[in-house]
Amino acid sequence: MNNASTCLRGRCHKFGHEMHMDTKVMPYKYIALHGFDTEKLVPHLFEEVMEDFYKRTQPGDFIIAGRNFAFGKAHPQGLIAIAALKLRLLCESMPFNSFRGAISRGIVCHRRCEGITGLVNDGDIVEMDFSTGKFLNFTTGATANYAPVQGDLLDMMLLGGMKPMLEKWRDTHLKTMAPETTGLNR
Amino acid sequence: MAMTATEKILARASGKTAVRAGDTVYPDPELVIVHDGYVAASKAQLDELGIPGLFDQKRVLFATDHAVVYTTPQLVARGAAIRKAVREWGVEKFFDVGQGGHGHIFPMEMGMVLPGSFLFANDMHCTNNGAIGAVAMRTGTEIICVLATGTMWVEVPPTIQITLSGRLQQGVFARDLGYRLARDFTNGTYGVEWDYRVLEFSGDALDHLNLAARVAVCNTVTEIGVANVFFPPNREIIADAEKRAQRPFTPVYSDSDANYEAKLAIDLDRLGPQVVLPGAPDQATDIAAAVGQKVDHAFIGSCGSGMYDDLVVTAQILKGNKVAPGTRLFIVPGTTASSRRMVEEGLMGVFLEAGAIVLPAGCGPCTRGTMAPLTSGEVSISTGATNVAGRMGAKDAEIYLASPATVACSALTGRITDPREFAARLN
Repeated sequence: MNNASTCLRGRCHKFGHEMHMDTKVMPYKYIALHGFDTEKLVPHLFEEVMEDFYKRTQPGDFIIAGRNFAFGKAHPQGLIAIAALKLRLLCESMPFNSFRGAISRGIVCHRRCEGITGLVNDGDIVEMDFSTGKFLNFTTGATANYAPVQGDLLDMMLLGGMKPMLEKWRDTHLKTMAPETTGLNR
Repeated sequence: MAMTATEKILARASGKTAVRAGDTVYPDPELVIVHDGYVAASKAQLDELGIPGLFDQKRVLFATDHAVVYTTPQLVARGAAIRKAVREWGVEKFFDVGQGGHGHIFPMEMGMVLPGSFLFANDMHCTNNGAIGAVAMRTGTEIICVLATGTMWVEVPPTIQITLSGRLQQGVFARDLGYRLARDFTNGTYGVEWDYRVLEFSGDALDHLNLAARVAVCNTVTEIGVANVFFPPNREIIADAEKRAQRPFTPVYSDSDANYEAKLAIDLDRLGPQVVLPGAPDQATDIAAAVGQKVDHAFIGSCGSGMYDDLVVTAQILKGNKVAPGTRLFIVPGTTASSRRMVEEGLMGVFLEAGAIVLPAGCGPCTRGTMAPLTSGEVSISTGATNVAGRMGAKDAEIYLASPATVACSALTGRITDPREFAARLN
């Protein structure tokens, strides 16, 4: 396909519509129990839908989901687990706050893949060029054209999220900032 | 290009002549508001990243509203960490415990947030600022990006226009409107998407909604996931803002041919008092379904109904009456200025005579019950921002939401009570 750095390939794990953040993505009891402890959160990702999901994944695999993925209160723990497993995400829709949280955590994702659950079976090998929106299911040959992900958002996803972005910003901007605006004089 | 008010404000803040829904922009804020739950954590994260200073310490405001009375050793320590961060960063607009009050109210009351303002804030209830005709975008934990760089990416949200006709009837308040809207968006009555939309109000009825009423509407629809709420400022609101303004401002209005994603019409004449059933803030029902429910705990105020006008309504109902035995009523003014005015104008005496407990300005019990909590099995009715399990302490306590008038009447009878029964007391 196209740009090597934005064109990603992997095995897909298919989920349906309405994957509620606090039940099907990450049951709320683990949020309360484990807070931000990534290692303890990961084994519970999607466990209400697929037992031991985390054991079936490899870095670079795709989560394929239907409408309204991760709806409900935008608790970050499910996204923290997805990011830790280095999974990508293609869904038909997801609430904006969950989408923003995913970008912030460096999850390479596309939230406007209409009809994608009809194009894949669990375990298919798929490819998505996030900069062009071109989707290909290698296993079945199905294709789709979605909107591209905007460049700066895609850059942040590929860089690993907000913190790596801030580190990059620090390295390029901090030396040139005046002391009175950086607090360095205090 | 015709634009909505939100698009205009985002365009101006981003240095663009025009933006449209779906665009990604990097707006330059007039103010950045961070509450006490995020200051110390943000400082620790930015320290870890090796970023020593703020983008502009003059445009950063720290409010202390979540933990106003430290109730645990951890909160005492957090307060110390906040003051250390303030010193190291040189933040000038720091409102410590006992100062300012609720960060979603006092910046408007003090003329720091004005019609047409653009600001960032960490907390979702910054939507309150739409009441004065400003746009505040919630960042969550990504506030550290704004504190460091002065901006972060914002997707311009689509706008839904809601035209209000008629007038709120006696015993019916702005919170009732907000509760009904929240319910009817999420149950599909309107048949439109609401996630990350701006709800912009218009119509003749707006002149009957003062700033406090507008704040209440902004507050009650927020938890369903809207991006923002926007009220075009009328003459009264602009005149009031001019008296308080700490800098020049220009009110912003939508073009008549702006691109609205949907248009809805609501007749206020047909709206009755609402009660939100426990569990979620979109579970509103006509009050008749809940009348008679015994309540142990009641609270009026905080970010959504803590304006002085809300306190006046509360005092009208409580005056000369006593809170029911077995029910405890907490009143939480939005700002320290309102607390002082309550003393000066006699409201404080009314509340104390009625047996209510007046808490310091801030969030009150609506922060997981760090103050005035609920215990297992208790029932509360309040003007809190949400009523999910555990919001005010015990997870198996039940939280109903209602207007300040309904909460006040219910506190007097000890049971959920239709405020129209107290009609003679309501102006």
